[in-house]
Amino acid sequence: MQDHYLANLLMLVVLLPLFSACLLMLSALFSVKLSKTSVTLLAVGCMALAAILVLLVGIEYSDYAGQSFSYRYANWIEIGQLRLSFGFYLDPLSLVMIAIVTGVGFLIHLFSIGFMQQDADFQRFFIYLNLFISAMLTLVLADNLLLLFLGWEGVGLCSYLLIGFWHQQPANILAANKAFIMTRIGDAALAIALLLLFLLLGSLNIQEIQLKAVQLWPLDDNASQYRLDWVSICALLLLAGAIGKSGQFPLHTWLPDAMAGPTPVSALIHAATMVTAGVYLIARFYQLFNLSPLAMLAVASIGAITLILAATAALVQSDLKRILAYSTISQIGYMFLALGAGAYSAAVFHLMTHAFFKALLFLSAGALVYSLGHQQNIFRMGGLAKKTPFICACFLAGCAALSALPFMSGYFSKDFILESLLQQQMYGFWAIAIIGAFITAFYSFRLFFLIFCGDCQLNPDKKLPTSMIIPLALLLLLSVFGGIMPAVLNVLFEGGPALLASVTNDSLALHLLTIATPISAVLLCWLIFRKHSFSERFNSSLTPRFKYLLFMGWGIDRLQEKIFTQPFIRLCQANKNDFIDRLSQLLSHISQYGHRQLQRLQNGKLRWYAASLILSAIVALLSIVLLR
Amino acid sequence: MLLELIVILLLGAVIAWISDSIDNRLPKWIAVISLLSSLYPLHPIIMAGSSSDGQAWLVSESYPWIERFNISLYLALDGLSLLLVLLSLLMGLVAVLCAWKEISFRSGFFYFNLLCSLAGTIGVFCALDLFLFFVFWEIMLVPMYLLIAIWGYENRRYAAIKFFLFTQAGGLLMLLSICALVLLHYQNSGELTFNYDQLLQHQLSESSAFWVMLGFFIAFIIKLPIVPFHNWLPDAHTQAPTAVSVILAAILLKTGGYGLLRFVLPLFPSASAEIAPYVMALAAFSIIYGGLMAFSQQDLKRLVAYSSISHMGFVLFGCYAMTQIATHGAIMQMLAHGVSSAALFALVGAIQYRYHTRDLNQLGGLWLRLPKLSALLLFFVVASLGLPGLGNFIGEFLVLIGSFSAMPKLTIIAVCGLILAAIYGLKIAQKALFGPVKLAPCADVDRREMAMFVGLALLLLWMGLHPQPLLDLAQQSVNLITVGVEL
Repeated sequence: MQDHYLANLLMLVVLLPLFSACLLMLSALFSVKLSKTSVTLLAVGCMALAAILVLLVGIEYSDYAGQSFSYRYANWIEIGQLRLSFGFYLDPLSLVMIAIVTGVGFLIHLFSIGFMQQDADFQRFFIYLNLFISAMLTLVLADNLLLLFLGWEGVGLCSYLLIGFWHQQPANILAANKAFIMTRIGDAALAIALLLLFLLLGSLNIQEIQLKAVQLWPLDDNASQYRLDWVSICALLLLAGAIGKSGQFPLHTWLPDAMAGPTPVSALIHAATMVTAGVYLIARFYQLFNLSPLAMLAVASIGAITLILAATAALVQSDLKRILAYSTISQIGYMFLALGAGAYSAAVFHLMTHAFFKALLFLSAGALVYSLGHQQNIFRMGGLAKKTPFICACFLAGCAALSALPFMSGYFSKDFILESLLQQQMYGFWAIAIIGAFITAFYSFRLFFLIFCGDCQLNPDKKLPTSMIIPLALLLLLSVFGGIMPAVLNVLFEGGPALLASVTNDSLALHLLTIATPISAVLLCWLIFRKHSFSERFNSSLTPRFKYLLFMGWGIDRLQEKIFTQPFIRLCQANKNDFIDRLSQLLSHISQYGHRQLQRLQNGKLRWYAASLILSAIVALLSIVLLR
Repeated sequence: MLLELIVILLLGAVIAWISDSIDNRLPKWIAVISLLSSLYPLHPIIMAGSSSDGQAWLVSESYPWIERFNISLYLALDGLSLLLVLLSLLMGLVAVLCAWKEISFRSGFFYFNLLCSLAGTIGVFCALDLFLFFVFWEIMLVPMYLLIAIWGYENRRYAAIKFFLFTQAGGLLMLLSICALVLLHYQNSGELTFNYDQLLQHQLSESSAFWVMLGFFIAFIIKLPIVPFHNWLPDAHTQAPTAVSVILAAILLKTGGYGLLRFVLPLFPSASAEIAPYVMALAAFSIIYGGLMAFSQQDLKRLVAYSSISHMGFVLFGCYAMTQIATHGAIMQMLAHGVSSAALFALVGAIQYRYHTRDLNQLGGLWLRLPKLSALLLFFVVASLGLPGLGNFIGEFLVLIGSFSAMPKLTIIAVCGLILAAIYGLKIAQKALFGPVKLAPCADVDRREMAMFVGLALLLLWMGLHPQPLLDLAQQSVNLITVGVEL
């Protein structure tokens, strides 16, 4: 009976947001006018209920002591060997994920009430948001790859709709298109992975796949380590899917542009939940990835490249949300790095703390932008600490956690990642991660100083409503204290490196280094800020061209446009009229031409007819004689 | 029962034509009534439908016709044809609803042609006598030609003639193949017959089988259509009135896929298996080419037409993968594409009815003017780009997963078609729905349209989330199709 209870709870968690989205959608479609209060009650109420239910799920699940729970609700497709069902799979990993999605999701819903109050499309916003939540929960809970894919595409669609939420500006729509198409490229890889796994292993159930994979392709220590075998191909294809969704190099360029959406959306989708789906995917398939050293190396390398690329790009941006976007890319790079080192729990731990502090940063950015009348350029701000002390405190906590200053939530998680890199003796990656940590601290405090210190330039004109303050305060607490209980996460992956046991093994010097790095970065940043050396322009800097390159995100965006987008459009333009159609029209031209030529024979002149009669008679006779 | 079905539609067609002289609002009501009442002879079959007990046909009936050549009115239904017949009736209804306000000029003759064409299509799906099949094939075409040529848009004559020439060329090849098949059978067994079941038993020699198969094959892929025989479709669609576009996309294209599944694969299993790799390459090319062409169009209807070519590529791809799953996928893709493309064409028609343009450059910001219509259009665009949970995804997914074992590389190319689908799908949304407002205010969808579109949307959702009843219904046919060619 208990099984049913838990199963029903899970189903409700997923269906509640979907239910409210459908109800709101139908009311819009059939012109039933709802007041903003009732929309709020329905949308945010369902979300709150879902969050409470997740709490109940957590309590219920604690009886299982880390064992997994799975339940099949209904059949979906059944043809011969292909058996797919609507089934959920709950283990500590998915529990953590649904807790983040519903918990942070609820706070962001609450914040959105105030933020979107003036918007004419209040209802549409909440339809998309709730649709997103339910798709994301499906993604996380799915027990088979196809259901996961359903959620995966569902969140992509909602992300598209929400980036282009203010659809009158063409730029927003372009950003939305870019996000959808670029993630779709990753999705295609994921789809191929799905086909390949089914072909090789005959199943799409995630757990079955991994069990069979472990049996079929046992890790062979003697063989050359980095070879491209089937398991590596599968893992690399999954990785490609993850790269697209999680905004990793080279498919990361959509994420900075995705900031065109409303800020709560950036917080929810493009920082806390959807973009971490790639991390979740790899963590979900950790047994498969463990079988392929090559894929693991690829994951770590992608993470390392991305984290440096994005962090350096964040150094020179002037748009508040763009900085945070690059920072998100870079932090997810850290998670990939951890995944590549096999430190799955460290990655998921960082995912969690990142969800807290990045949601906090985005929401406080939203609050700031809201109260400043939509100014996003940090160089136009300054000295706001006294005028908006609460937002300042939020930013301070967020930036400190992002920089991994000691005893903030981000510190614990980043520290675990660094330690596990050392444990796996990946010293090169460790060095990159340390450099990344330095840059991270530098750009976060550049952001903080430029906004809150120095001379005041802008006056906030709006007071924050309570519905915005409460979620900010809660996220602030989570960002500061959210990293204290990592032991809970330790049960996530059997076989992964243990988190807590490792603390004392390393040399103290290395440990101190991880603490000293961000602090020194903050100090350096302060010194430069005091000298007024930060500038929006490109001519004052020592290396203006390099700075511009960084500002353009290393030009990867432009490169992709040159190599892929423009040739594609040119190809389509060139064949706009369909050359095959031209060919078939040629046929009609030829026959018309023949028709005209033959027509000329029938000219009504008797002489012409007589002559041709005689001529053809002669030709006919001659040919008979000669051919005989 | 099946003859009644066709007769009801033909009768309805004649009555609709006559009633026009009484009142020109009558024909559309008669069309609706005859479409609904044609469900009556089908209902016992639907009730008993899913319980297939190993028999090939759910229902079959035969009446003598031209006894001199042993031609009979042999009609039968199995799961596959039942599904397609239901799709035809439903989409016929949608077409009538689309024409409801749009067609006022000679409406009696319009509905006469519409119902005749539907009767022909349903005949094609039921006929198991090859001669009868050919007759229905022609009955379906001629009214279609008239519909485009009389009620079409600015360039209608060109489009109608192109449509007619292409399909007629295919029809001619098919007729030759039918004759050849029957005569070869006559030579071997001394019995002259056009009966499908009897011809199925007959094994042709390899070389003759290839040529006979080719005639059928080309006729059907012209209809589907597959690149390089596709170019009649964009013209026909752009020039046809909305209702005819709906019929064309939702049903007529499916006769091509049906023909492949019913005739080419079972009658010529070894010859089909031989050319399968080339056909699949052609299908993959068609998927990609259609997608690229769709993206480069400025005319909304043309764009949707090219997207149909891309989607029909999946049908051909699934047919020739020759596995159970892929064949199921091809059938699902036909059904889902029938629904989604009908809805898309109906929506484009609704836009054209309001603003008298299909040019993407002149549209824009529709969401602010017609929010409901825009939301519906977005839904069907998303369905056609293959969002999981909707019918089209199930079709494409089954085709891909069923074909992957046969042709992994080509399947990967077909997967790239999904990326292209996103690119051209989003182009519709971007150009028509979003951006600054360019158009004057106009009335949003009315009740008739809303009922139609919501119904179609629910149908797609049902196909996407619970396709099992459809799969079960088609299982028997799929068994028969794949039994000859598997292994």
